[in-house]
Amino acid sequence: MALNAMILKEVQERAPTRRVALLRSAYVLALYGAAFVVFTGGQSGGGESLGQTGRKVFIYLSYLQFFLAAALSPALTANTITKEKLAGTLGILFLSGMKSADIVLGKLLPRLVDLSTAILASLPLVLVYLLFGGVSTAEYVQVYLVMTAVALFSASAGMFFSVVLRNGGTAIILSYVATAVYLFFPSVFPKMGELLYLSPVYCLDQLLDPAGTVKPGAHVALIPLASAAAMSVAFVSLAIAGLQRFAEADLGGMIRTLFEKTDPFIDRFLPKKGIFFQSEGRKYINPFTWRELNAKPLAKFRYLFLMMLAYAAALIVCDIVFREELTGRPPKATPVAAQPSRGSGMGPMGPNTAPAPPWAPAPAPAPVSGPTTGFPETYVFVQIVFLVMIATVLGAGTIAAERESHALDVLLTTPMFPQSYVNGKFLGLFFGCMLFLVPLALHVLFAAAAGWLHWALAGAVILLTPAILACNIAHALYVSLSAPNTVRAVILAILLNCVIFIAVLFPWCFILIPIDPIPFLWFLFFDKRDMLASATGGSNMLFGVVLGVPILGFIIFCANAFYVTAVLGNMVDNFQKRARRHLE
Amino acid sequence: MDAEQEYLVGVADRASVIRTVNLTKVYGSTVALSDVSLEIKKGDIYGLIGPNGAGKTTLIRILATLTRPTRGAAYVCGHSVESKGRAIAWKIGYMPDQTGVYADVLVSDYLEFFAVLYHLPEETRRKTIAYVVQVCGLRELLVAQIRTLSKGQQQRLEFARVLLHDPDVLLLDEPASGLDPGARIELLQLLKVLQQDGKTILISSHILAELGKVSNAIGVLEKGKLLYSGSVREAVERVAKNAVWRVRTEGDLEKAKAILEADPRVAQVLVGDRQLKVKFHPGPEGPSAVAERLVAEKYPILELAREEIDLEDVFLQITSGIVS
Repeated sequence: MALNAMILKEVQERAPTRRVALLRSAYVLALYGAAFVVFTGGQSGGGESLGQTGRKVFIYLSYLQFFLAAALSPALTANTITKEKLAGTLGILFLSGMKSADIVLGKLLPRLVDLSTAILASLPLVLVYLLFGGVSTAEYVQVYLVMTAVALFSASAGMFFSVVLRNGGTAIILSYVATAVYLFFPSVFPKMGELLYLSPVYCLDQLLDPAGTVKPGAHVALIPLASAAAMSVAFVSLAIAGLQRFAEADLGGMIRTLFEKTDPFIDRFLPKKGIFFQSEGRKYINPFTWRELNAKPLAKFRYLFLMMLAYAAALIVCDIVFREELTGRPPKATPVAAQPSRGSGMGPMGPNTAPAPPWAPAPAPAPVSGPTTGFPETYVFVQIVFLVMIATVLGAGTIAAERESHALDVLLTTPMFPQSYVNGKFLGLFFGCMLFLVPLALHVLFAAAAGWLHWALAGAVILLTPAILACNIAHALYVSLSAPNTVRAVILAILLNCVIFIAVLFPWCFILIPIDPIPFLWFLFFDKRDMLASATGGSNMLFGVVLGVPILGFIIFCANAFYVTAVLGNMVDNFQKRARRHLE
Repeated sequence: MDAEQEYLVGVADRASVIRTVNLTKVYGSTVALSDVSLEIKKGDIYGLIGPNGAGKTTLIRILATLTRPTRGAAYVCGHSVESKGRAIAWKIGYMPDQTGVYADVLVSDYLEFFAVLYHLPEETRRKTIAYVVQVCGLRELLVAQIRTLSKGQQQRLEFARVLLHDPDVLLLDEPASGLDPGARIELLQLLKVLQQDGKTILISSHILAELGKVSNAIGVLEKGKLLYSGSVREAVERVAKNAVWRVRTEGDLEKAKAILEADPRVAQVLVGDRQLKVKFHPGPEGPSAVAERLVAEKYPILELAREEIDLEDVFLQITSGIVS
């Protein structure tokens, strides 16, 4: 009875309002629009059969939905119990006779239904493309099973973190970290063989690649599904077991206390002084920069910074351990021209991860020397994505959290300047996130020095990662200023940045490069990598290293700086209107 | 001369610090404030009383420039809340009903943060923080994280924050909620001191007895309507007309009750514990004439006193319509 009551309450709360209905319709329309663009693009050239185009649409939609499922699931569940804790209603639920299982399952199940609806929204569309051929029914089912695995894992991980933590923002961040580890971690170890299929990304790559390792009839999707189901059961069981114990306690608080006792030195890295703003002839430290550098999420930066250092060290160890893999598979043995797909065909998880973008040029000639195994690139790209996620979540949470805690009310009654507020927050977050660039830079320099990564790529990473961070923080702040609460702000910011990220697959992606340079890095890493590699040992160093990439990178950097300034300027201009939107 | 200029001229004459004219706020189909017109003069402690949902918080938020009125106008220190938000920000100290603190910083950092926001120079900043910390009893908590403070301590911190820039007008929404009795008394004493410094204080509270001790003016709000706005003394005088008198005498109280009920000046008589409670029709000579009548009937008067009137009586009688 109690479980039913909780489900009923959750379903009633989540009953589709007009706005939700509109959002869902927009989501489906966006899916259909993307399919239409890919379909017409494939057919207009006249070189593709219906079956080939159908398969291409299927691949695009599968990736899109896969990453959306990974992005949405933690956001939906990670703030459920923390919200009850914050409102003080969790104790009341226990007093009303509900058991832990009723509460956890009662909250999880309706959200899983929501997720299923989102995933199945494209079903009618892909069924249409099934008629075109090019994709078998078994492939459809397997791809949907992989998506289900991701949704199941992420949602239950979110629920677990929601139970053991008190702060919704922290729970969301940790859920994303757990999801990212689940998605990518197994594929970092190439010697795992069949166990690589534990990684849903790897599994999806292989399923969607006709030249991959999946043999017809092999039900590889069951591997991630079974592992996700097992881990979900573990997460949910732990959540149920720990709900009463963590109703008052906070795992985050315990860890924080532990760190605070052992963390006397990192404070020195934080630039507390020297960020001034001018007013009435006097200089002051911008209080909002100070606030962001000393606030709770930033206080956690130091822990994340330590983790990042540990991560970089682990990567370097991995690099050394897999040295043979990295250096012992020379391009001579695997010429690019031999790869089956159009374009370079190197994806983040290995060969042919992503479908070749329509704008990709014909395969480059086989390089004569240089590394092509792709592991350092994958490591580095994952780190950048990790950074982007952190910046997005922190940026989206900052103003919305002030609105939720009524601190924004108080701030709006003070004579603060909007530009001080917006720029101060931006600078604080930016400087905080820049800490992460240190291990990243160390790693790419190490990889470049070891000859595993092109110097031009290392330079591009060091130059463009700040720009990537800047634009993602600016987007997140923009969303945060307009969103009514933290959760919605985080979800919207992640979706916005995901859309920009995914847009790399489309022909018009270069328009987005000043907005977010990450497509440019993707292009360099996974498409032009071999071209760069051919320049490494050859005579074209001047173009590849000294002039080409740095000049292009610098132009992009400047365009991005201009764009970020424009976004912040727009926020300042409309600050009063947006900040007060949800006050009434 | 537009409305604002006209009002600015008026301020010079009457020293009104807060003034609202037909202020109305509508949320969807709910009328939170309906044609509220009030005036608060410099140095007043103005108590805003009313049941939950009466519109007290809405009124204070409009004056703090956080909420825009649907109709009407509101002025703080002569500045319109709709067009001069920044000018008002320098003049007011706003304390919301829900504490809007950063839970993750130290008390000292929090105060420093707001001191910088108010552009206090470094030397002044230190002195001011030291002063407000002492006044609000936060000295022991300076290096504590705000999240570890109790609700009452957070209220005190908010009050310290309000005082940082020495505002002319204090808008305090339920400042005493969460405070223990000792802290409440200290807060009220502090309000008195601030009043002597010339501050104008608008305070809403449910604890009417304590509000009555410090306020010299009150406004009674109910369902968005301002039922009364004026001095506390005038309100008490109005209520006093309906006051209950306590008559202690000896002898048969039932007979004494019958004698009094026969008097046309008496509205109602109740028999209590060795005393009568008498309510008179409006008129100046009621109590004394009735006392004479009882003495003439051989009932010695041991005590004849009006029951004390406090703000709760005022509130109840005004909201129930007994007093207009």
